[in-house]
Amino acid sequence: MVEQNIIHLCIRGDREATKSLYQQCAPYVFAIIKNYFVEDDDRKDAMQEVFAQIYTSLKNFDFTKGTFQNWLSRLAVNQCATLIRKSKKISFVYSLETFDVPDVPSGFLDHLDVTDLENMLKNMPVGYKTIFLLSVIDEYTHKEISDLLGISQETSRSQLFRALKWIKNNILTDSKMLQYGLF
Amino acid sequence: MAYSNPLKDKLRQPSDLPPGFGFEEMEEGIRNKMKTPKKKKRRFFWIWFLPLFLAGSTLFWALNQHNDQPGFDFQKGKSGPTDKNINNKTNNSTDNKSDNNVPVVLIESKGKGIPSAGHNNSLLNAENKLFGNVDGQKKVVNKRNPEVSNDVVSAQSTNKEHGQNQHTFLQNSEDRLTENVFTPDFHSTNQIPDESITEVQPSSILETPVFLTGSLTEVSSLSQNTDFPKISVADNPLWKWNIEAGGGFLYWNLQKNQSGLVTQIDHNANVSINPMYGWVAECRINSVFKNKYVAKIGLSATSQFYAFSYDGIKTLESISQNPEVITIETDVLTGRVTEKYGITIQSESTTRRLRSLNRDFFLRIPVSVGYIYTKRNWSFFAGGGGSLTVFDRQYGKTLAFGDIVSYQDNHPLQKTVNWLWEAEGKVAYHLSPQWNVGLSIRYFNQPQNVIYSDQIASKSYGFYPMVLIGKTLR
Repeated sequence: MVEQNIIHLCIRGDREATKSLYQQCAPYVFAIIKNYFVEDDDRKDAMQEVFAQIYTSLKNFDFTKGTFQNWLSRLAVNQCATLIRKSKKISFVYSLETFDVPDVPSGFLDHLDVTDLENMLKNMPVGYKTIFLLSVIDEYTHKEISDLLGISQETSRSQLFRALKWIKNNILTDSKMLQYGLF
Repeated sequence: MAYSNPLKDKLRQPSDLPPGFGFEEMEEGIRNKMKTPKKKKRRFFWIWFLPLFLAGSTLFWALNQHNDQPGFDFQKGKSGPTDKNINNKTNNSTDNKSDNNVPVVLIESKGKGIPSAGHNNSLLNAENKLFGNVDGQKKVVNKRNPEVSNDVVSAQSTNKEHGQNQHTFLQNSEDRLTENVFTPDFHSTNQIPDESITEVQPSSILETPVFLTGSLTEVSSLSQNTDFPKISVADNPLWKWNIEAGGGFLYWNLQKNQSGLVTQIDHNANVSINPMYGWVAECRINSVFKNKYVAKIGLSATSQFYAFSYDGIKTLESISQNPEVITIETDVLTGRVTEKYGITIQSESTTRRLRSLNRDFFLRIPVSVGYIYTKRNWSFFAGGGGSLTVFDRQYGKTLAFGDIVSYQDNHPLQKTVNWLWEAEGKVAYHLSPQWNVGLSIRYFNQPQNVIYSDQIASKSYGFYPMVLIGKTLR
């Protein structure tokens, strides 16, 4: 994805290298950010935060431990979650009642095309969306999500359950469900 | 980019950036974000509380323990009334200071002659019966004493000024408790034979401290430069720096009862040193070259308590102040009797038992080099070096110059500078790229505590584990 030489030049503060790194990584980072943030200002802020973090953390990147792509993805997602948590835009309903969260199969989502998915994320409440993205798309565990967002694992599970339920209720029309064979 | 997750595949396809997201537009914002100092995390802040609490409580306990310790008398300035007697006799103006500020226990000896070398030297020995200011026993025998008994522990001496006259002094078995002889430098008058003064090496501390440590903060690694961060080669920089800090208290003792015997004509004693407890604080800065070779320098402070124990008998000689009849000549022809006067030698034999709680404080500047091996989150270090050590013996007694001396009387031993050799092994676990916690085991030689004609050997070796928290700087 990115040449090792460019990373080393970035670490040394070479402006051309930093620009090159940005140009190579920005489309991918933006693809992550645009799912988490809707407003342009928020996306810009997130882009700047993510790249600031990338440049300062490059020295910690170890080629032997994984690909740059995975490292970048993880860093961008973490930064998005951190920004959301700090912005306090999400509030989770903590229910005192205890209940077993049933597993909602997410296989039906595979039938959605990109437009459906983007529309779904655009309209989804921020809390649901964040948990959904972290859990289903970025495949974080509930433990990791709870650490990132400062919530309990039970809250993470219940929010995911509600998010999937919301998707079924609000996005999937009867015709689409019929089309996808979900009935 | 393709993902195994089909949803992710759909959502994370890189797309063209919208207007306003180019590098030129974002560059200033990124730089500003990089300049903004992050809030310091205090992830490990709590670690300080445990060692501080332990160190504080131990110190508090130690100070109180001294006062409660049945084997010690901590009353300052406590000096037996008989001190003055010996002071007058020896014209030693410093004697009055002898026991000031020093916890000293003197145990009366009921036995005759030289006490057993196997006497229990433990400070905490319940068998020891303490007699406050009873400072010792002094046996004075004069040749002219007509009451000389057959039950004696003899001390023999020669009049060195009048070599032709040899006298035998017998010691009365009914010992008379007379004077406090535990006065520093009381021997340093002309009445002490020169040969009893021996070279004394600096004393040292016996220590086996254990460190418990903590660290305060994890500092953001954000660069403060206005330019993009300039970092040395990321993954394997040539030089790395890190700092370590620790502090704690002693709880482990591997060198109990360093003891030795004094066997001289005029002095027989059993001396022992029993290390007790103390506290240590240390910080070091380490330079790591190529992730393998380490050079360390630091500063270490230690306060150490140890018990000094002395059981012995000391014979002193002094010249009588008044001329005495030393010879009676009888003229066989005339029957006239002539008394010849002269100066006689008085021999004083003293049995003493002393228990003193000594306290030393010393600063060390340890310098060492070594090799470090890193495996996953673990690192192993082995190295050696030395430390420039400044000893300050704050109070206490020891054996030097042929007798018991007190440190606090500006004694030459009170402040000394020594070089100690040191070896170290350390294993550390890296909690994060910046932080590590490690267990270090140190071993270093120490100078002798007391030396008396090379016979008193309290050569000791510091050997103690310590826990250190380290922080990698760059």
